[in-house]
Amino acid sequence: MKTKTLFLNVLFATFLAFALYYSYQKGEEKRSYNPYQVQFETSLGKKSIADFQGKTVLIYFGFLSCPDVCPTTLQTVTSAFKKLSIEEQNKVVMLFIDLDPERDKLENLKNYLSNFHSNIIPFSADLKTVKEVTKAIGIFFEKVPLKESKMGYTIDHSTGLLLLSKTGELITNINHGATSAEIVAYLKDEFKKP
Amino acid sequence: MKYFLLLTLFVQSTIANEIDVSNASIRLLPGTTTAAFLTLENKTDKEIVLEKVSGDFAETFELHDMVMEAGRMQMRPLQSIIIAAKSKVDLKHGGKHIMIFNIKKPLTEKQEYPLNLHFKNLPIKKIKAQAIKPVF
Ligand SMILES: [Cu+2]
Repeated sequence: MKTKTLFLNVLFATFLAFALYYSYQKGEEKRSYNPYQVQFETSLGKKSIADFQGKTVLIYFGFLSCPDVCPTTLQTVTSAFKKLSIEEQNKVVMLFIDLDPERDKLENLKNYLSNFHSNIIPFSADLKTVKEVTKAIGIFFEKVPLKESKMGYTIDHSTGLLLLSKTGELITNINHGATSAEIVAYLKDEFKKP
Repeated sequence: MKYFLLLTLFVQSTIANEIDVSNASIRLLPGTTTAAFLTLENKTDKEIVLEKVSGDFAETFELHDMVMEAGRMQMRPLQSIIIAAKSKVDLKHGGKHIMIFNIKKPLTEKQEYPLNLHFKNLPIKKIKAQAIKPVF
């Protein structure tokens, strides 16, 4: 009887140890995927989001056949950047992560973004990479077929603007509809940090 | 003959007055995709249905709506836009719009471009929309 209990205890302990080890392993796996370190094709060569540490970073997720919301954000951020001094402008970038790599190539992105502030940098990767990165960061996007449109499909997507501190910490998600003055206020708060 | 001519003029002007179109603009954007916006005012006692838009400066014109739900932007084509009796419908940023694809030549700021509005059971209404850069 005693040996049986002991045996069961040992068995349970072993099981617990394995379960703990397994969940630890899984956790490690999860922790080892860092979306901020994933390499993208950009106008500055291969870069990850983490490569911009040291600067305040805004991240937007959009696509080029977006007629209204995406260009509005690009214009608003352009206006916000123009309200900063040159010295301040050097402390900030906006990364435009493209959600439609099937239609938008890096060249198109560069051309398109050349019409906005030069601190707005196109980030392009294949669909699989973009899906993994957005999922890990918690950004929603979905390719939706449109039967009745010549577009063929559209991209439903989160419209917020992520704000990362110069140490790479996620500060907030600035809502779509924020004015350029509001964005400037967020940026100035960041610049004040040591 | 004179009366007939007067009558035709009268009929034409009533058609023209049934629907008022104002603030027609095309968003000036890089690339070949953009959207046009305008306000439609139905002055009659019956609903008016906008079924189609056409033009020759781009290959495709479609009626679209944009719905923002829980911070997610969704764009969907519309079969038509209904303007209820004695009311107005705004096609505006972040909402209903005329989606324009494959613009043939880059648009010029401040220039006006012709658009044809096709309403159900009404003659085509020709309007002009100005290419503008909205400020945000
Ligand atoms: Cu549209």
